[in-house]
Amino acid sequence: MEKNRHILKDALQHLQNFSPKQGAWEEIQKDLSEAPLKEAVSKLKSISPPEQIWDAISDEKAKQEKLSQLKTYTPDAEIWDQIDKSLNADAKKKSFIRTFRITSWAAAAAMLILMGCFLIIQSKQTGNISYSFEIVETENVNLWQNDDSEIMEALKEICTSNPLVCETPGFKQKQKELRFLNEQKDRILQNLNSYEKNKQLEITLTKIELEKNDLVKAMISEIL
Amino acid sequence: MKKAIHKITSAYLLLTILSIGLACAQTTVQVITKTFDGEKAWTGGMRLELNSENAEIHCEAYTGKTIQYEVQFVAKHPEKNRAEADLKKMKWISGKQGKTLFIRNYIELSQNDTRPESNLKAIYHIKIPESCPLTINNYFGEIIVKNTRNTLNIKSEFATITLSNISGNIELESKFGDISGTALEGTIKIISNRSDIDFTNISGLIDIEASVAKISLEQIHDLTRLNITAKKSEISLTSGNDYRYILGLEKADFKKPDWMKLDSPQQNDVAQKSNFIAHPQYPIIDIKLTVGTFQIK
Repeated sequence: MEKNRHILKDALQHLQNFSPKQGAWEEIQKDLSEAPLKEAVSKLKSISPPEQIWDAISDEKAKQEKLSQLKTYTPDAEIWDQIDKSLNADAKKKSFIRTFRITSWAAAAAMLILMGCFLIIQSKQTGNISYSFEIVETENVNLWQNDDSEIMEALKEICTSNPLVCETPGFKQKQKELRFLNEQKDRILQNLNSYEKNKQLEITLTKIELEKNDLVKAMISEIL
Repeated sequence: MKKAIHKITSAYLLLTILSIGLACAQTTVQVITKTFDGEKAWTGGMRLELNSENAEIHCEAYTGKTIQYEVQFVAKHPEKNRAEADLKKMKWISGKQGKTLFIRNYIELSQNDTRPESNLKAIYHIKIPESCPLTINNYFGEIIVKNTRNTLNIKSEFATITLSNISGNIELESKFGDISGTALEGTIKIISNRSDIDFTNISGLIDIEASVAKISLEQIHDLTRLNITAKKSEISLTSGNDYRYILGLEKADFKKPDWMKLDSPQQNDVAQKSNFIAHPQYPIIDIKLTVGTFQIK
């Protein structure tokens, strides 16, 4: 901390003020701007531009001179209207072209989408699935199995009591045919379905039953 | 005793058929149909082989040069979900091996799959070039073939066969599936096991082996030879007197037509013959029948 602060403050208040002359500041300003500029310019390299640049400058100058010599005209209001209309027409034309282009692109895109859909539909058609319903008469196919086992058991019992007859070639042949018919009947029964009326298979089953019937009768006749 | 057995068995049969008739009831089933189609270019020598089951096959030859097909898989069940699940078990493949185009459908069951409850059926509509040889193997269903001009080979069980306007080398083997045909011409070989045969307008070299069948041939013409070997069958021919007949009939009912004159038995003859002496140039009809009936109209 300054010990004699108040003494110093009093001394500064008693000092005199000085202002330089007006010309002094201008001289200083002039010296400050000219001296660095001269120094910089002296350091610049001198470059000679090509001839064609001078030609271009010359042409531009001549053009400017000729333009300045042209007369000026003020057109009628109608001309400005026509110009305005033509400008609008151009704008409309451009707008039409733009619209046409957009429409074309849209149409092309739509065509592509449609073709894509068509191809997808085509490919799906190769494995196309459709649904419908039918009213059918269901049948209890198990009824065809009736009493087959009983007949075979009965024949077995008869053969037990008359073994000699059952060993004859004729009887064995009939047994073989009966077995064949039973096997074929089973194959048909496995393919019969309650939800499809298969007339032809049922006719075949009937024929098999009739043939079996004839065979069984013939076998019983041989035994008795 | 025999009369009693006859009555019992007849009553049993009648009751069975009646009870089946009475057991009918109506219900609504959902029908789901999946359709595939395709077309393959055909070149000479290429043949089509179709292996199917539970299929209704419609095949027609045409003048075009491509094999065209449409396949429908149909599942029917009262529950839609069940029908959809069962339909997925029905598979089909097609491919070419050498000069053969294969088409096959089958039911695929994985380890835990149960047998389909739905009624499953395949329906084929096929068009082939006239000269395309055709082989069909089908179990259960129906086969309809029209207009083919080359080899036709069909092997089927429990499937009816209907042919029309067929020429060429025809081989059919059918078990429990009736065969009918009209306008058949060429070399025709048929093996029938409990399959009735009904042909109209037939010509060429015909060879039939049949067991337990009704055989009817009408409008026979331009015959090279007809051989029928059958047992437990009923044979009916509309053939007339313009043929040489060899009749080897055993336990068969045959009423000789008035116009038929049997030749005097020659040495080593085991069958009756007709027109062999008078008309040795006539084509031969050779019938061997064991148990059954034979009729010439």
